[in-house]
Amino acid sequence: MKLFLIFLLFASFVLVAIFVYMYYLVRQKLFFDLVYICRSLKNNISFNKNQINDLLTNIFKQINKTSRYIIKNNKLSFSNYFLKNDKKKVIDFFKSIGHGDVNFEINNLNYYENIFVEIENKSKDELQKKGLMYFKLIIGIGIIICILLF
Amino acid sequence: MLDSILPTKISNALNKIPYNSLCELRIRANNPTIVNILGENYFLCNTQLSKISNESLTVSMGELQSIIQKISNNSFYSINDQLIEGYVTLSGGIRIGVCGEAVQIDGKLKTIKNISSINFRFPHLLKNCSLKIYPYIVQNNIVKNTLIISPPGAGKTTYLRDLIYQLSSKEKLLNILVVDERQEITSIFDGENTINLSNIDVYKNSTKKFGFENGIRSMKPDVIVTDEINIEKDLDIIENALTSGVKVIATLHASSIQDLKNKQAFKYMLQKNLFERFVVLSNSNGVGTLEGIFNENFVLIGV
Repeated sequence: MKLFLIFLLFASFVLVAIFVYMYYLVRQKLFFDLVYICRSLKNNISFNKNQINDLLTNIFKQINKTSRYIIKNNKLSFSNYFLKNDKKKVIDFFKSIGHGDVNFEINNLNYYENIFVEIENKSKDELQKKGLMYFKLIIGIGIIICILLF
Repeated sequence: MLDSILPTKISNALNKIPYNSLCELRIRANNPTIVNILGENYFLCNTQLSKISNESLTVSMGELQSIIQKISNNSFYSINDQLIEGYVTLSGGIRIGVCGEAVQIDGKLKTIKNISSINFRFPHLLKNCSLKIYPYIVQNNIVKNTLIISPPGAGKTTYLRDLIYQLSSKEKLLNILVVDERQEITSIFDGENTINLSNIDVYKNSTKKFGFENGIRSMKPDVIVTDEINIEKDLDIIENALTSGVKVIATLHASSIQDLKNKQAFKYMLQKNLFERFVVLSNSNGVGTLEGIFNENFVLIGV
């Protein structure tokens, strides 16, 4: 019975560690997808001038499900959690597209692409450093507690 | 049809008017909205049409910008090239003319901003309206080079559209190429009045130069149909087509044969008798009144 409870405790530590790691992973993927959206829009707008709604519908099919959910439901607190201080930038990005001619759109998309690339790089670093560190730390603490209890 | 584009008050009032009689809707920022019903202008009011502007519906500058944004489906860049030409064509062939402030860079028109007035022109498919002129244009299965002339809004495009339909259904082995620069001629075929036109090739939204040159080279058309030729710009390519053995049916803004003869740039083409039929339309007895059909020597051969 004691062994089982220790196993359960360790399992819960692993789950928390995975959840913390996933937070950094989802954030990194989200901005990776936003960069992808910028690049896709840029190519399509300059080449065949399709309309934003059609383009976004197609692009949304190609990106990560979680990213799609966060972008589409950016008003939910769930999205706040992942977007953090960058929420305004994401909202501004979607508000800014579709208002000018092709040159304006390309410049605008370049501007936001640079912003999102920067955030994505930062998120990637956070994933490598913080995400992995917290993951290892929580698992380590879990192992130590379990050994002590054992 | 325009419910998703126009402010609710305008679309509600417009829905009370039978579409078939609606020719134009003219919206000017902060000014009375005007509709053209069968050639006659009225002020658009909440519940009725009026000749007095007092109760007429008005649209603010902001609402006008919102209309433009909706027309472009929130993708302004997709209509900018058309805006530079002064019009946008919606699906169904509704042509939207715009007026505003031109933005020029290095002498080249880049876009139109602060759009202050919009004019919607509603196309109509009047089946068989061209039957009167058809026997003069097609004789012994040979299509005559034809120019349909009329002042703006007198039914040139409607005649042309029906002529394509008649040609397509009666001369099934004829290769008909439509150069639809403004997407006015063929877009109605995609709408409710879909007609199965099997022998028509269409260049949509392409310049006449591209459509004619590439069409002749690659599609081997027997007849090329195009709308509203610009004498200064299009004369060479049309002459090239006419002298290449391809028949051309086109339209042109002119109020009469005399008016046509007075056009300096057109004199050379007239001297060469490149066009064999001239169909003159007017608004004298309502839209699409046939004034006459003339041969290459400008002799009246039918009314």
